[in-house]
Amino acid sequence: MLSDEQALLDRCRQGDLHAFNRLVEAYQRPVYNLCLRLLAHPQAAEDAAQNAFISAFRSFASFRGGSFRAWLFRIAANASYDELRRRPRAPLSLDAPLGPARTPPDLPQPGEPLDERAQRLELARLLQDALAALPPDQRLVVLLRDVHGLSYDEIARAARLSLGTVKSRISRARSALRRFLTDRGELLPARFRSTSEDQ
Amino acid sequence: MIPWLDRHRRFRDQLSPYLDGELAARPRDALERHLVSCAPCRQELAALRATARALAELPQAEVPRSFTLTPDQVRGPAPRPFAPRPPLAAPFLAGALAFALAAILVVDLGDIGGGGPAATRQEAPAAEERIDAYGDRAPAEEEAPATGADTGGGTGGTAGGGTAAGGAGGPAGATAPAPTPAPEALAPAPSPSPDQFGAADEAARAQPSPPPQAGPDVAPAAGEGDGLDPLRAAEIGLAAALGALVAGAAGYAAWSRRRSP
Repeated sequence: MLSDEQALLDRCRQGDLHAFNRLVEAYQRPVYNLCLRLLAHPQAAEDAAQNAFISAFRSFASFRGGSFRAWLFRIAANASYDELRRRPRAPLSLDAPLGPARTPPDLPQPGEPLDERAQRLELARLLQDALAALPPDQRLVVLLRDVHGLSYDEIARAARLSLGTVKSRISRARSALRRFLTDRGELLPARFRSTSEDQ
Repeated sequence: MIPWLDRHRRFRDQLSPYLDGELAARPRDALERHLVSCAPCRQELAALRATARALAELPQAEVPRSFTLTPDQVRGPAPRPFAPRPPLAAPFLAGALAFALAAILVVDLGDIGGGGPAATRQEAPAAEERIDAYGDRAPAEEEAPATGADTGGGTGGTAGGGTAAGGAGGPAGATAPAPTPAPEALAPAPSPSPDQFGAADEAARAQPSPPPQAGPDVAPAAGEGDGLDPLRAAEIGLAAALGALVAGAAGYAAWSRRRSP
């Protein structure tokens, strides 16, 4: 959260576009990445993210306080679903596996050994496939929780679900992801193949 | 369910919220006591933790461009029109319309096939059984009695051909199979029928117009002939329209709830 976020939000209520753009700059990366993980298509994610910010500015009056991030992610998820429906003929599907060209670009970390980088990339690709195999409702909550770090309460607001539903969906999603990864254990780093209990 | 297994499953369901620190104190303490003695749950917890960590370490893409808004973007029309139709209403409406069409076809074609009001009155329970069976996806052997009763009723109705004797034969055929299982459900319908048919044929030959005393509740309807009962059709149509309206409204409401920020 920005240090001056509340002041910016107050100015946004007055229709201050400059203040809103400060918020856009702060949140555009997570919003774009959420759309990208939901849509698995860079161009569609770009359109969805842009529409989400336009929609957020236009409907700012409906923001009644609380977590701005959760409110924004909710709009981004809706924009993603709209984008998905808008492109019925395009090779976009929430259930489609993600190809290598659709994964987010991954830069080598400084000093990272080649084999570790290869493993990290392989794990990221498997996780993409595992996420794509989830039902959309589970995919959204687990992305909000584990990728974007929202609290259960924020997820409940963002997805308009009860806390109990959030808990059970996250639990089911993680179990499904864990099964997906375990079934492909030979491709995973040691920590996924290991059954040790010290993790 | 074995109590121990049930408790174990409950603990498994709590592993994910435990990982996130979202369990209240009492269930958390109970789960931690369980984890001490349950190696599979400890392994599952470790795997879930590794999965969550791997998700958190997923590489984040850089934005392809800035999404800051220009005054034109804010003033102008929305660049992407939203979906023209509510996505949830469509399946609801399609289902409701399909059900309405099926109901009209089943009931009204049943009227036409039965050829008379006697058939209408007798076949009503059979038709309901068939719809229920499809609705519950009952196995074929459970559908057999409905088919048998339907066949029996239909035969009686057809043989009745709008005569009073046919109408009188209907209730006997309808009531007889009820306490008996499927194989016998077919049998009772023909058993009274030959007598009834004989009586009906004789009555039909001797007296083409049905005597009203033979079936007082059926006879008035006999005068309505073989065509569709307009009152019945109106009832079905009204029910179908109401069903479609309610389903559509529910779908639209759900869609609106999901869409609004």
